Amino acid sequence: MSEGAEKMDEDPQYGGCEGPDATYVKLRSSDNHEFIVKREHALTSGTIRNMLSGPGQFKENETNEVTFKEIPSHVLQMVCMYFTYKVRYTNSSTEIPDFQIDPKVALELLMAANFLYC
Amino acid sequence: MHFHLEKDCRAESDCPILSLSWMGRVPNELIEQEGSWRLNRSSYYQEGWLATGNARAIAGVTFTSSHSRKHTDLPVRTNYNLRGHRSQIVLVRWNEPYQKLATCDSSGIIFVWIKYEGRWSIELINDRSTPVTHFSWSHDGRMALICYQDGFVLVGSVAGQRYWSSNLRLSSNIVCGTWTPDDQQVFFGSLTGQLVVMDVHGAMVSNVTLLEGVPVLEMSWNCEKFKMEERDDTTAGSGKRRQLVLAVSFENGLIHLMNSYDDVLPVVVRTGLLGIKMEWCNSGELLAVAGQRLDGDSTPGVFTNLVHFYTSQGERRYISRLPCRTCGVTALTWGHNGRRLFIATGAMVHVAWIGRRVAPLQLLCRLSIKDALATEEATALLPLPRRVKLQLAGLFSPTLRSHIPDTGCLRQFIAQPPDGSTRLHCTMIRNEDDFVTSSAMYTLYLEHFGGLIPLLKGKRTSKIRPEFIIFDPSVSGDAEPRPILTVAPQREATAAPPSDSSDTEEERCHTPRTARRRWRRRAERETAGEDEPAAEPPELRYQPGSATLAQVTSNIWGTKFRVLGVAPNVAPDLGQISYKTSLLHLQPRQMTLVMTELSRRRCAAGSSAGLPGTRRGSRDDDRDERFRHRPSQASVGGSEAGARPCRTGVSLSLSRPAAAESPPPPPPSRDRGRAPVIAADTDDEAAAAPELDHLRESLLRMKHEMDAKMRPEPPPDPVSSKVRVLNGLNALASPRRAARSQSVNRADRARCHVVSHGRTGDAAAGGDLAGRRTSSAPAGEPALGGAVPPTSRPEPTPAAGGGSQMEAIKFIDDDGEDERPVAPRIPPNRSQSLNFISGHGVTLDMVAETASAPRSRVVLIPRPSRRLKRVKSHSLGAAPSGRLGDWLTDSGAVRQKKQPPPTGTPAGAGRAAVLHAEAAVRAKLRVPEELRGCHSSPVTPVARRKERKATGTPPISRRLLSSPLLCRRRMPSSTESSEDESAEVTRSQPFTSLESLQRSQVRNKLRRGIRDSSQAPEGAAAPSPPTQRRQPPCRQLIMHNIAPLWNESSQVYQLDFGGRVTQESAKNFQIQYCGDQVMQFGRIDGNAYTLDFQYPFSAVQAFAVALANVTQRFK
Repeated sequence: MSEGAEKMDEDPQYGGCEGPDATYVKLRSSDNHEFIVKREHALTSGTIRNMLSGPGQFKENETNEVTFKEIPSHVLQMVCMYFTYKVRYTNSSTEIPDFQIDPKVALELLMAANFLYC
Repeated sequence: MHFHLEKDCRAESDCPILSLSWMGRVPNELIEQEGSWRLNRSSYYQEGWLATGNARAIAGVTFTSSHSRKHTDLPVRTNYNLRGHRSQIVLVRWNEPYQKLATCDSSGIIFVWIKYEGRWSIELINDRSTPVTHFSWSHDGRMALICYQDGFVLVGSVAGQRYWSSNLRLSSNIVCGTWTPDDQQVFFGSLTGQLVVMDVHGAMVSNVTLLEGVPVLEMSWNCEKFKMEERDDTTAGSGKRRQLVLAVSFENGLIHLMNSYDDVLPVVVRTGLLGIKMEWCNSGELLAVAGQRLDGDSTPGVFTNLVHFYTSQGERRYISRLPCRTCGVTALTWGHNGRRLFIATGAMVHVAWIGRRVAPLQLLCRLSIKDALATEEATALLPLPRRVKLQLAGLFSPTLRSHIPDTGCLRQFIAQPPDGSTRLHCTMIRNEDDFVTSSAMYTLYLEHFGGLIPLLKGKRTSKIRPEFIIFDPSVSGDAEPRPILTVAPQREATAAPPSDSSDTEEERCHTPRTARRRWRRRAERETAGEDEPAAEPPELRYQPGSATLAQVTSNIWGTKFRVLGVAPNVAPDLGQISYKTSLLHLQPRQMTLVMTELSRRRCAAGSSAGLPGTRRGSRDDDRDERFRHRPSQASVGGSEAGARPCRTGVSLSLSRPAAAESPPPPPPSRDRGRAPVIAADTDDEAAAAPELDHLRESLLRMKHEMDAKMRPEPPPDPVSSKVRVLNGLNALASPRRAARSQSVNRADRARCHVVSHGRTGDAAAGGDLAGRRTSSAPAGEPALGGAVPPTSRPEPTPAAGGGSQMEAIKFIDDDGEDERPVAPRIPPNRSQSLNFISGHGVTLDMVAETASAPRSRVVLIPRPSRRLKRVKSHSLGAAPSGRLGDWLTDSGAVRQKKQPPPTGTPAGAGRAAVLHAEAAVRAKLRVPEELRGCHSSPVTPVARRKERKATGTPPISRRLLSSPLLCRRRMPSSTESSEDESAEVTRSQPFTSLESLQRSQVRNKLRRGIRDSSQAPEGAAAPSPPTQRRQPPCRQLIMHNIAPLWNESSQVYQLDFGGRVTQESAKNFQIQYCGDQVMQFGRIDGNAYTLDFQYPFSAVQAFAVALANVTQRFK
């Protein structure tokens, strides 16, 4: 994987995933896909929030990277989409569309959501 | 926000629902204090009542719950069909602070209903014979605003007093009205788009035209529907309070959101909907608007119903489509404090779950999975952790809770008795629609949601004999599990006269002739006066030649009936009904039923009823009577000793002092030994080992005390009573006793209800008010109460009473009472309810107190205290650690200590005991703060406060509590408990009433049956050979009807049907089983009867009994 190179390519104005105040965090699925999402979005999940902002016992705290050994990429993708949905429509006064969930992934997604506490 | 619809077939009535209203539920056990019920806000809104007004002139009041657990304890009755109106009900409105319901029908009659003693009855009637266009309670619930079609408006009080009325001579009609949030002004909307403002005294303030020529539909402020919190500082919170908005909806689909009536720039919302129904949620954040889409399908009869949600700024938050396309939206209301939305489209009510925030992903996933699942049972098969599964299953729990058959289970439902104490309230209607044979058809309906759900249909088969067949319900098409509803256009008023649920009158059995005369008169009245076409109840559509489920056969005289099951899923012998022949009809009917117990589970429970578990499982002490002999079997024989040595030890140590103190006849002495074992037997295994030592110790100690008390003179002597009180003090204050009571408390979890009353009662009048068994077991005093030999009971001699402190208190109490005016005697015709009174005496008069004050309000406590909630969730006796229990005893000790040393004066002591009892009752309400501190500190201001409160109670309840009359009245019950052993005792006893004779006979027969190695007792039927019925598949139970009581003054026989029966008829009856009324049947209309039943009756059996009764002829 060439995650290092990818990061270098990014425009610095969007912030990176490094350092304690990074704008982005990296979520890695069980099949080694990486999802770079806004830290603010990822904090929707209680579990991720604890990992990233805990008092330092997690290594994720420093690296801004969370690996989920149990969550495959097609589920983690839905999770990330939900993060966006949630942040977008919380405290907004626009009309809320339904968040569509494919019944085929619903069970896996439920397990992931249960773990991620979101 | 989040929205999803619940799929629930329960939310369907049989005719269009025209109005909805929701109110939180005040728990029954809650007793008002200082004129109001104090409730915890969060728990208050979890359960509630949904009122529906439907086109068939019935208002439904149905229980709703937002608990995710499916099996929360439902109230005793989950549905009320309120009959009384004669034309369709257009408005139902709860008055939440006063817990009243206003219903208006299309002819302009307004009823205000109030719930009293478990039944709804009409409190006020208002009839101006002009159609009502709107009815609205003020936000504090104290006033009502009524708008009539002719422009007449009226403001009255909740008690029915008219404050002012005015005839607004406008160019157009008033269609709606609303109160301003501060209840200082009323606004009216007119057909021409005007807004009329008047102040609370009826003076005109302003008249604004909002939309020229466009009719106003509804108006509502986004404040809380009712001010449930009594805030004194109304100004303090106003700073941060949001701007209140008035929403005015118009016929053309516009909604104006205005800050005040003269707002020149209102926010205009274009909903694009027709026939708008709208309501703000209680928090005022969301406005739910439902209607039919304007530009929808042009096809007539097809509706596209949408729900919109708007913020108070007029922004649309969410749109959803309702599945119903056959009817427009007819009503809408919020419930459960904004967590549920009820939308009626025709006969269907859609229940929507609303979340104010963006739904968590877990919930979204669960919903997605739920939609993919067919049934709730399927969740068990999913590869999910248990907790997640439970959460998933929680989504299936319906908001409307009722005991109605699930889809596809109708056949099973009718063939089995309802669970536990569930009582089914049904209506049986005769419909003579079989023109071919012109034989009478009867249909049994379950009352639900203001409508009727057809259960069973029966048909008379013979012209000569009263014989019937009952059709099998599920033959009508297996593809459709629910019976199909059709509305026949036959005109027949099913609405009962307004007196239907009226409370006070006792229903009468009368001679058939007068009854018939009355019906005729009524029928004439109806045909003459009414031209309102009331719809016919739904019809069970059976396929031609449908299968027979059961048969009712009869002898030629119509005095003996057999109910035979024909279908394979019912027992072949369902039961028998026999009437005592009476030639002159001078006596009320006497019927004997032999019913086969159909429930397998119950059967198993019955055979193993000696186990404590079954006792715990059964409902109340009355029902337990039939199991009562079993613990005695266990204790008399030594077989129990091996299994539970400690317990037998206890029983022995107890029986010794009892036997020593007085020379009782042998059987009672056995009784004495037995009583504690009953208590110990129900004990938990866990509670047994460590606490038994304490128990034994304290019992020994008490034995010494008893011996000490044996010596002094009879109670009338003040000195001796002083000694006793002091002894009592010791015992009460002893921590051991507290510990013991704790264990007992825990053990009797199942009977916690009884226990709690027993506890309060035993301090009061020495437990005479408490259930008989309660006094023996949980009161914890050795060999007391029910175990005391009956011979020694009538006079409170020291020999009988020497046993315990409790007795001592009682006697002192009695002495004290002698000087007081004698409590009003309970009239003998209340014998039926006597059990109830004796069992629940304390609560009873508290309830009466509650109900007698009509001005009592519901008040929410603004800040829910966690402790309060916890206590609320457990009932008194079941407080997990028993802390409540020993808190009570502690406070009892405190109370007693606070009495000045010369408590010796009997009256004073009696009063103290009573005070203590009342304090204990009250303590149930105000447990929260005191729970902690009161443990060890003997004198707290809390106790004093409570005492003050206790003295404030009306003297009548005190008198009743400690009335010597009740003390005596308990005596026969103690004989009953001992008669299990000696059947001959009962025989020799003179019976005061037919009822008691029947009861004892039934008990004898039952007992005999169980003695014969559980051979089924056969009553009137020919006994089958015992050899082949070693292990009968089903028990047969013998029951009798309750003998009505002759009322001298009105010259009729009377029975109390609890407001369910409105016409006197010789056919009205009630069946009693083990002291409980388990079935009642009575006429409410020329062709309609109510039929209520519970275990051991299944629907088939109850229907068969009703059929046998309804055409019954005596020759």
